[in-house]
Amino acid sequence: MTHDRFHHSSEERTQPPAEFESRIARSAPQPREDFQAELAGQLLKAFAQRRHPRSIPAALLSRQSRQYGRLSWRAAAVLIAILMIGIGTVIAVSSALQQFISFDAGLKAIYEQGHGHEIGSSQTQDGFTVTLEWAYADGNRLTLAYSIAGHPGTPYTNLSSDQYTLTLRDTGTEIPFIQGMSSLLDANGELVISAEPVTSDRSLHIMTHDLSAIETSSRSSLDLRLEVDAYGITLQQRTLMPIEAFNAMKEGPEELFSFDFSVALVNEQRVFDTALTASDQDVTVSLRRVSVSPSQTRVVVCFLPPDPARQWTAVPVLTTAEGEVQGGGGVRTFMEGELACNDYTYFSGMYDYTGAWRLEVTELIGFGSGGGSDQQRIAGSWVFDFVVP
Amino acid sequence: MEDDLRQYEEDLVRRAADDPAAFRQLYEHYFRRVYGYVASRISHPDDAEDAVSEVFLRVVRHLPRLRGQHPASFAAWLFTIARNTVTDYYRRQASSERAVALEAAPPAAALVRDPAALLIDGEDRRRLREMIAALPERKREVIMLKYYAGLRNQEIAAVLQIRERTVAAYLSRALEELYEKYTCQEAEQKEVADHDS
Repeated sequence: MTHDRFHHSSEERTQPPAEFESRIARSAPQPREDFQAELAGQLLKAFAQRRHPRSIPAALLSRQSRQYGRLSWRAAAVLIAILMIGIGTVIAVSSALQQFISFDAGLKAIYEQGHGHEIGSSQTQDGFTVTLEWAYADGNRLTLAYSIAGHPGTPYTNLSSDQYTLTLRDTGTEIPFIQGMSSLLDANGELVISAEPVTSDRSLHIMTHDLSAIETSSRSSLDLRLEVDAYGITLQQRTLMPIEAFNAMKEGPEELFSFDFSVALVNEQRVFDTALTASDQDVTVSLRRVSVSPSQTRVVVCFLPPDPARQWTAVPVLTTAEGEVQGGGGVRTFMEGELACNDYTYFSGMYDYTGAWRLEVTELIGFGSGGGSDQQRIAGSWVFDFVVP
Repeated sequence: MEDDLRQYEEDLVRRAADDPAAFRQLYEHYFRRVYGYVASRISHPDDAEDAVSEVFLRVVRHLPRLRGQHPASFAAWLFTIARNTVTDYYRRQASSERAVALEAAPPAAALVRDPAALLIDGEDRRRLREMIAALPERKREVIMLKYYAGLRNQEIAAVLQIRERTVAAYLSRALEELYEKYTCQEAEQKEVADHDS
């Protein structure tokens, strides 16, 4: 007897049992044993580097780093050490901070120039110590580093902060936060970069803020107040759990740590603000402003949104004669009348570069209210050539 | 409980842009699901691994942008990236010398030729993957997103940009087709085995 599926009508079909669905799920392709851990290592590096989206071809990264990942880490640390000795800088920060700095081309550039301040101010509450380690400020950004030390020897899986604000003391103005990097520290005070769950009793946090919206031209330094809390968690194993359960596991002081401190302001900035326009796909994009400070480059573009109901983002590629500008750190979107504007941040050390620049917008993406997949994408080429005076 | 988990995941997503530990939790939770989906659509193991790497690199890059947009579901956002990455892969293939038309791009299971891999995977899994690969495109995608990616119907609808009701209909029909083929094959195999003995 042969079984012919065409002998059945749809009404006659048997409802598949639940076990059959499990069987389908189990038929999914399985990765090779080491791939998950290998990729986790690459991602953690990419996470820390936060390079520009188009700067690292993924395939290249994954294949190259499999062979050279560890070497490049050590090479970077040695390079930083040599640079410190070479320029005779007085800055003395932990090796973990040096590792973080090596991920950020802009910070690395100002570090090599001897900018930045070691602060080393500590406060302790209920066995938790927060230390304000280091800070730097120029016209575009302010970056500070602080560490949290929990009860010595406790195997914390999370050692972090829920509350964090940085304000100008004289006006009470909060300085907008852009992005941060955090890591547990190992016994040698170095960042723990591992695909495996790790524990430590100390962590380091580097927080970068946007100073471009703050009037700083009349200031030579910034008087600041940092208010931050600290908590630790010791998880037996990493797993998804209700937020209430996660929060209930947090232990740490009730009160905020409050630091009043001052940072010298590096008032160096080069600006290109001649409006340029380019059109493609029936959309005109204008380049509004490019500002280059020692630690950061900012680019602002605006365009009339093709669909005003969506929130629009332009995808940029910024290049110089030296290649693509590294360190794309994010975008702030805002409306200027009917225009959608994007303010891009590149954590790059381009202050000494005086040659030609090119910005190419390769795509416009309009996000709708229906979630991440609710997108309208317009591919094109909007090109701007300029020189920053 | 499901709401609690979702809330916990939303909290993780919010923190993951800046906190490697939170990102790692998300990564560990989704890695096998992303791999299962991508590798079921890209047959070459190295290419599949590169595509999976690209998916998560895109997540690293775009997480800061995601913050504040409050997507309906992180999973839907993640698998939209995964699906776009697979599409980009076949576009690149199509534009290279080894031209493969995007619409005609065969699913992974149809291309499996490595006898060792077949042995390791087991006959039953291989058979199911081949059956899924033989489904029409939409049904195939719905099955892969449901059972390999572990998405809910609402999330599949968001990824494929179709209505949830349509997803349910595709799913129901695809499951019935698969089950019927599967049981027919089993019966045929049993018949052959009985005849041989």
